[in-house]
Amino acid sequence: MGEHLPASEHLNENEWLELILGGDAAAPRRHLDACAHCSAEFEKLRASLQEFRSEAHQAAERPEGFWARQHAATVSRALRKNTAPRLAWAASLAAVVLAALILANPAPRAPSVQGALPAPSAIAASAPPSIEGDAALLMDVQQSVQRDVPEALEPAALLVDEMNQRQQQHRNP
Amino acid sequence: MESTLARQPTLSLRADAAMGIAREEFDEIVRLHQRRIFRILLALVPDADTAETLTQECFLRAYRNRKAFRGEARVGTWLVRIAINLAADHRRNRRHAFWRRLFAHWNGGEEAWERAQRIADPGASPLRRLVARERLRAVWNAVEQLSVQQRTAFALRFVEEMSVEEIAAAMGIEAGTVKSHLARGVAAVRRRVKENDGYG
Repeated sequence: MGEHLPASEHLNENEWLELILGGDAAAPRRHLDACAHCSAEFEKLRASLQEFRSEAHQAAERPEGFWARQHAATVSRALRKNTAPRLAWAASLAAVVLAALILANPAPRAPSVQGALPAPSAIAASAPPSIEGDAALLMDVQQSVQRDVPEALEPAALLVDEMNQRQQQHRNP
Repeated sequence: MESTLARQPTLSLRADAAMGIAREEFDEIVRLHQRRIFRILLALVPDADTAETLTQECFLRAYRNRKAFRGEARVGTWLVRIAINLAADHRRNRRHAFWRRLFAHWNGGEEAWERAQRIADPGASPLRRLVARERLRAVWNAVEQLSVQQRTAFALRFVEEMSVEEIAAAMGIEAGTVKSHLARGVAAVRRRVKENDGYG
């Protein structure tokens, strides 16, 4: 190891970088061989940078479970984000096709309440008037009017008659 | 020196990248690169939670933009570039910058010291460990004082051992500019180490 060189002859910033980068740094290396001051400084600098690297790697170390979770979350998010736009496009396309089909083939209009009732002309067409029919209808109406009890209440009338008869028997055994 | 990227298993995207990345391929890319991307982001952003979030975001952005990948660079370099951009975007968040400044003021540089405390060299003597801790603290303090570009180049070189050309590709700058950033970074670290050793 040679004598200390004057400060003006020490390594400059670029030469320090060449040494640290480890490329072809013949001239700076010759200086290191000759300068104990720079040589000692270089060793400290190199050790510091190695410690820095080691510490940075340690700071980023995580258990395997962390990487597995991170990996799964990343892939899951990527695929989810990838399919969402496709689904949106598919839904939009389906809506457009449906609208086009509806416009091209309009459905028959829903029948209105008035339309649901048969028109008088339709009744006339389906049931042509006849003299026999009219007469039968009039007979039926007359029988109904002449009944003592409406047809629908005949069972009740029978029940009342039976109750009256029993009551009569009870009074006059 | 052979760079970390060069030593990593090669996984280039298929030639028909325009057809997209298959799920298995994306799985493999995430598996191979997630540790490294996280490590880089941890050096560029202030906390581990942010680094974790941005790591996921890095891969998501890569996946979304996979058709833009031309295969001119390695996948690893491409991912590092995305990570750097994400870290830059994160820093641009003014609200975050405010909180970071505030916490930095409160902490008074304690974070760098805590990092320096975690040196794993249990076999060394207490004195050597103390010296090493002090020196590492000086390095962290110096790195934290660098500009964003200088710190990025410094981290890519001295944490990831990327070559100057790879750093230039990842940062989108000239190799000469990378060297300039690295020279500033090394000078700052050297100055701090000298000051720490008391012969500066």
